[in-house]
Amino acid sequence: MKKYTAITAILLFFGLSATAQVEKGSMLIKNATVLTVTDGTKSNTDILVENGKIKRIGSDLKARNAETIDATGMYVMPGIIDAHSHIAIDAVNEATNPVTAEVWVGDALNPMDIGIYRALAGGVTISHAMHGSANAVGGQCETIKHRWGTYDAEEIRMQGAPRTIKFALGENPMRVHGEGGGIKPRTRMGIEQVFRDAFNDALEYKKAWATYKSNPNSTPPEYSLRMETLGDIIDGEIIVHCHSYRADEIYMLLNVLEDFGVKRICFQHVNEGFKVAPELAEYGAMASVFSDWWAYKFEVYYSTAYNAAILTKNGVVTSINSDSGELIRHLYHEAAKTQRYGNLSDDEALSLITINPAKQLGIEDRVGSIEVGKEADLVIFKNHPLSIYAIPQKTIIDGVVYFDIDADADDMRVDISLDPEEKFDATFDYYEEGEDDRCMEGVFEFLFGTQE
Amino acid sequence: MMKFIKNSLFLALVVLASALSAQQVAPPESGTFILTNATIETITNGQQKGDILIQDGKIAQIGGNLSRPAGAKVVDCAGLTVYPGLIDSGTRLGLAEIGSISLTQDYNELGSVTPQMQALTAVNPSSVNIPVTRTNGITTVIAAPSGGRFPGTAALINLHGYTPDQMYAGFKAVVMNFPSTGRRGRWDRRSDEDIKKDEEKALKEITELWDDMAVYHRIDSVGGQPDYNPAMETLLPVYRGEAVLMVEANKAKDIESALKWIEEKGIKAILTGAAEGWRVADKIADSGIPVITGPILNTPTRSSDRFDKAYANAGLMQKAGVKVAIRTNETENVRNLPFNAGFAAAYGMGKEEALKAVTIVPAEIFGVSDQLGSIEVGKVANLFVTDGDPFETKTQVQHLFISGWKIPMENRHTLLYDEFLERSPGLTK
Amino acid sequence: MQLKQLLLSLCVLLCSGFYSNAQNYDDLRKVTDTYAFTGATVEVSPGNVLQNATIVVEDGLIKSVGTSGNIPATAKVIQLDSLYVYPGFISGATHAGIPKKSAEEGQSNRGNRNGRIVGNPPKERAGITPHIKAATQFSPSEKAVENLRTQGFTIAHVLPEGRMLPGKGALVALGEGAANEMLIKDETALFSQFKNASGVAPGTIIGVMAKWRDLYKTAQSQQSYNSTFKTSSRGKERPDFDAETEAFFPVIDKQQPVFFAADKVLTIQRAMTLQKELGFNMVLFETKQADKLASSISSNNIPLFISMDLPKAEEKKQDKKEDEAEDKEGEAEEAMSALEKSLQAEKEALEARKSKILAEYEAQAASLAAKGIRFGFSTLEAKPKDFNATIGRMIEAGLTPDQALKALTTDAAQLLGISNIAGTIEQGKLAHFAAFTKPFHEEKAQAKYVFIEDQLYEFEVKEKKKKKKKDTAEGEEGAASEGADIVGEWDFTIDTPGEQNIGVMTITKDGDDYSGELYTEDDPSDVEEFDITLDGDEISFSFDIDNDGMELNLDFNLTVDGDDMEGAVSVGEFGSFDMEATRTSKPE
Repeated sequence: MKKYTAITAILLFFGLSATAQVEKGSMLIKNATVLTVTDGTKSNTDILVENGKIKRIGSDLKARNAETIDATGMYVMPGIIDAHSHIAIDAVNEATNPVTAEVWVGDALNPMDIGIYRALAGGVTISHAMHGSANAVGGQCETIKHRWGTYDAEEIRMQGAPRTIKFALGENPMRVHGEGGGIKPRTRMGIEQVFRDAFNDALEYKKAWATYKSNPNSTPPEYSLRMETLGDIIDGEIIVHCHSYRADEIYMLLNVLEDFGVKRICFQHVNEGFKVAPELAEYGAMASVFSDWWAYKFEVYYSTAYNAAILTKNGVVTSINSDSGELIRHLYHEAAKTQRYGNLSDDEALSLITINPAKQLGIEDRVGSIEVGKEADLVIFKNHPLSIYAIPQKTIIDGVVYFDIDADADDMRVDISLDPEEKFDATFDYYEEGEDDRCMEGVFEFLFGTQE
Repeated sequence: MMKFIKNSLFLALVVLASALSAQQVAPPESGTFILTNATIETITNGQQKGDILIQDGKIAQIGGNLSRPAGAKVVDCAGLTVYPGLIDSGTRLGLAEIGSISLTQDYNELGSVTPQMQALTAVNPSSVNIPVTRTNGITTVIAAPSGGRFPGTAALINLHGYTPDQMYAGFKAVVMNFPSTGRRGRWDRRSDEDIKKDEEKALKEITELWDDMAVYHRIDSVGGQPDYNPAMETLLPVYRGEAVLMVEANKAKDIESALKWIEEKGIKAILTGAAEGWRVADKIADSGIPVITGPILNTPTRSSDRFDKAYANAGLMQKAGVKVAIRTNETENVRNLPFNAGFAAAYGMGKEEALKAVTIVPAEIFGVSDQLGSIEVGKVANLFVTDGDPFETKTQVQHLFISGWKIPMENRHTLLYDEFLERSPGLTK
Repeated sequence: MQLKQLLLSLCVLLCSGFYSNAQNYDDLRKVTDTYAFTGATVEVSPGNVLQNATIVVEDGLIKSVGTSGNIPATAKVIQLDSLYVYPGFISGATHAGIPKKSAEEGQSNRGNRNGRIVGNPPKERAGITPHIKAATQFSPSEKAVENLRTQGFTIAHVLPEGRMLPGKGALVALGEGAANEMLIKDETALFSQFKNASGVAPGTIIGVMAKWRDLYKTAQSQQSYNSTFKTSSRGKERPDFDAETEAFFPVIDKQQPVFFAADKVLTIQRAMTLQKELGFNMVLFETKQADKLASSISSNNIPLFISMDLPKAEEKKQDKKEDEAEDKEGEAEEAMSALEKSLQAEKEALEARKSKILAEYEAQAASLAAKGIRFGFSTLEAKPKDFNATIGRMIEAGLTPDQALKALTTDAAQLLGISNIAGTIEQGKLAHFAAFTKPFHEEKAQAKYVFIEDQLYEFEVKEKKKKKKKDTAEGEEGAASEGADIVGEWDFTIDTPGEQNIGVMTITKDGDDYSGELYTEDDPSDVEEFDITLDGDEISFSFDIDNDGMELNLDFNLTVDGDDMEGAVSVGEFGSFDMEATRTSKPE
């Protein structure tokens, strides 16, 4: 019965706070083996960076007033991009409803999470901080640049990156809402209908507003941030990133999205994506997978570490992600596993952690390869990054060095993140049993009422 | 290289494709094998070139141009390298199948002092995880129970066999989780006092248990018949210093307490975990107690630690004079053992020592170095053949032998690959 | 149980307004409404000090203040010789006087969750009660009001208890009169904090942020429709009325600010994000790291109340001795190894960082003051008995006593819009002041008198607290052997991360044995019974609870100090949580 009038201008809260001025640097990297990813490997090559952008790639380049880094014997690759992580955010799951499109993890950025520095030490310059997978339609995510050392959340946002949102299929939403809450979805059938309900509600909402706008004397609908967001998905303004495992559920979502005209979709984890690789390729859907995680729950029991290779060979834009504060530190190694499991070429393997995740996040025209004009997000490696002996030496974002193995001190935490009452002591997270993906972080605390 | 494997199996696959449906692994081959023209990484006797004869499950001969017994199957290893099977010194392999389904998990029995629980009893020889593991060159693992103070008895198993006894590789040890003063995760919000209280309580319980053990030992020693007590019966050899105890401790302070306790009780022990071993490396070295550490691919234990401390830990201990073996502490991804060793190698341990830490060192620690851990005549034929450095990610394992059986390079993952790389039917509605 | 509830509420009624009204009628009538305070050193306003001054008060207002010594003949004279008098202190935010919520709020999260309610709870369960007024909840007889007064506070901005949007604040005088008599200003501000609901939406910080936007925009939408409807109603459906939504209207109209509690940098930033997006007027309070964001706070003209709750300074002395002893032992035995040296260096570096960070918390006030940013103090979390020490630590960190006094008086008054009636001891202002034994900022300075309009409060000046243990051991006539008096009903609060668990505990005595029972607000029917051990002023008890099949042991250890109890409850592996209790009733 609530009928409200229109707000003349609906505030677009994304991109509102574009005030933070990020630092941009200049430098000359000399004599490196440059792994451009999109244009092959160039030995003995220089990269000139000016004001945060790659200005020139070639030999015998000269720098004006910029620091020169001698990279003789070293490898330079584009900054690694992780299309699925949960670092740098203070909340992961708003697990209270099967549909929570209105929430946004960008509201809870924590630029002082030591996970950022550890990721930098593994050459990762950009990560996709995602909402968890408790809900069929989860919250919106945030693409961040790992500009370590700040306490200003605005500084780690990658301004201009497209909006993204988390969806989830299968066991997690079924467990949280069906088993835990006694509401739909309890089955994969139910999950399909949650999406159809949500999208249809959003269409009705849009229609109601359109009707109201054309006739101000008619009844305006009740404002809903959730419906606004779902409408934006239908309008193609938000890229969907969907937690998924089984082939059938992946196929289901493709059908649902097709019905509502949603084109931009990247499946996450997608352990059985290999089974529907032709359908994914046909739709233009992308896939962001684990290198080798499997068997931690029933829906990933029929998995293969060859998933990335099969998807790649079938023409699906594929990335390797971490979903873990541990794995994110060696994505270069995770990508290399596709050479053991599927014989991918160096460029194919490197694409999985550079240009492909960039495409999945809609930032491929800015980052993801070493090309003139792109943002100077670079990693200098000792040994080839796909070698087990690879050690990142320097990680550079916008031409600024944020990780330097030679300048790495013992305690790299940001000052003001420290708690003066803290006892400096060891924590052994990893000895907990019943390992699960971090996508479910916070959910059990929530279910058992012990959450923060 | 997968293409090579694929080609060699192509015919079989075409014939079996419909029946296989990505579920079955071909049976291993038995017989006499001769590996020819190989580079042989013996571990204990350097690198050699030549042939290896495998007979009756053992390495029968090593040398140039060995004569070929009648019926011996030739495996051409030209351009390839043979390594002794890798040993993972701490896993749950075979004891757990699907992480989130508790009824498929057999590593944590109820009760705190249950050393009589035998991992070997519950190892599932048909676990899908086993073929996935061994095709990366891992032939032998410790399958260990966990949870509680004395969760049970771990067993060293080879990754081929149809009964636990066929898999058993000659070493068992009771596992102990030493009382911990570390926080068990972000949710662990106990105060320092509470942590200390819990530790003291746990230490007291152990002391009481050991006091009882003394009585049990005395009754048993004088030929008396102690009451039926399976826990104490299992612990008795440990108490007497006849059997080794695997003591898990990770925090520096806990490691020190554990070392002290081990010394006090005069028992034989292996320290496991040792995530902060580098902090007390000197003391571990002085104790002479060997260490099994891992996973190497891990985050540092403290947020103030340098980012690479977990990678470097094994090397730091080894350089301080500790005998170090590496484990993954994994279940379905024990296959990452060579990569764990590779990271340890890259971050300070060096390739040679890291390789030993997954071959001869664990064999020595477990007292089976006459059987396992290197390529020597008379040892069990646990071998794998690669086209390169076994730690390098892109290296392909070409052949695998466990107890002299030639194991097919197949597992669920490869079979799914073969079935789905070019799916048929492809894109049709 | 219901009967007990009834008795309890009756008791509350008797103890509060009802009682003080009765006093007005039955007590001896006052001789005069004129008072003269003589002989004190009076800081009329920060920096303006009069020696041996006389303050004359008439009808609750300052009539005059000066050194001429003129005392009206009608005045009752109160000598404040050798005392230091300051304008009454003002707290920018407190829950003092708001009775702890009991019983009715919310259901237990245990057992079967109802997904429908979890996802779409009643607004009250979600912590959305912006229409609740502190003014109607305020009870001057609450112990917490007295605790503030004891520290020289005479005015406070009182906020309702709750979660993300607990309600509207009120400015009150901290006297003992009837609640309505104490009210200075009603509906001062909309109080908000980043406190998610328990077990229902919004369940996290991200849920709270999204809900905030949704509520605000919904309110904007409704307000706009309401006004359209007012001008032309015909042919339009009548709008809904919804108290929670309408509570936003004055905020949207910028008649009321949002009082946002935000302690650390990230929370402050989040509050500022909402403010920037939605455009309301905002006051930040309870800040602990506002100095880090000083430039954006000042460029956005955001009024500021900083927290008086400083992180605990570690009592190092003993540990240090032990460490040193250990270290020396090590050194004596043999020169330290390289590893030991590096670990020692690591330890020292960490300790140094920790002290540095602690110093930064202590320096928040000084740093803001140095940048010319005006602020008051808020006391939502801080314990009044620590105030003196806290001010001392801030001054140690560079805040001048003058700046501290401004923050406690004139600046606070200005930021709260009451500088015309409060903040100084000047003619015409409310007669609010406190007389201290020493300059207020000096160590162990204590208020001996507090005067609020027409009420004089005198406090016992305690000499030293540290000897307390000895005292109780030695004497107080049998108190030690018998133990403290603990019988009665106690309201308790247990702080668990992100939430407060409130409940009622009843302690009874049978012979020499004490026993108790308690329940928490989320399920008053779930009463736990237990035996109590009393040792001196320390009580302990424990019981087991069943949490979804998981047996948990709760172990309580508290120290009793009069009608207050403080201590902790440890809950198995989950750790130990602070607990406080206040006695609400005693058997006659």
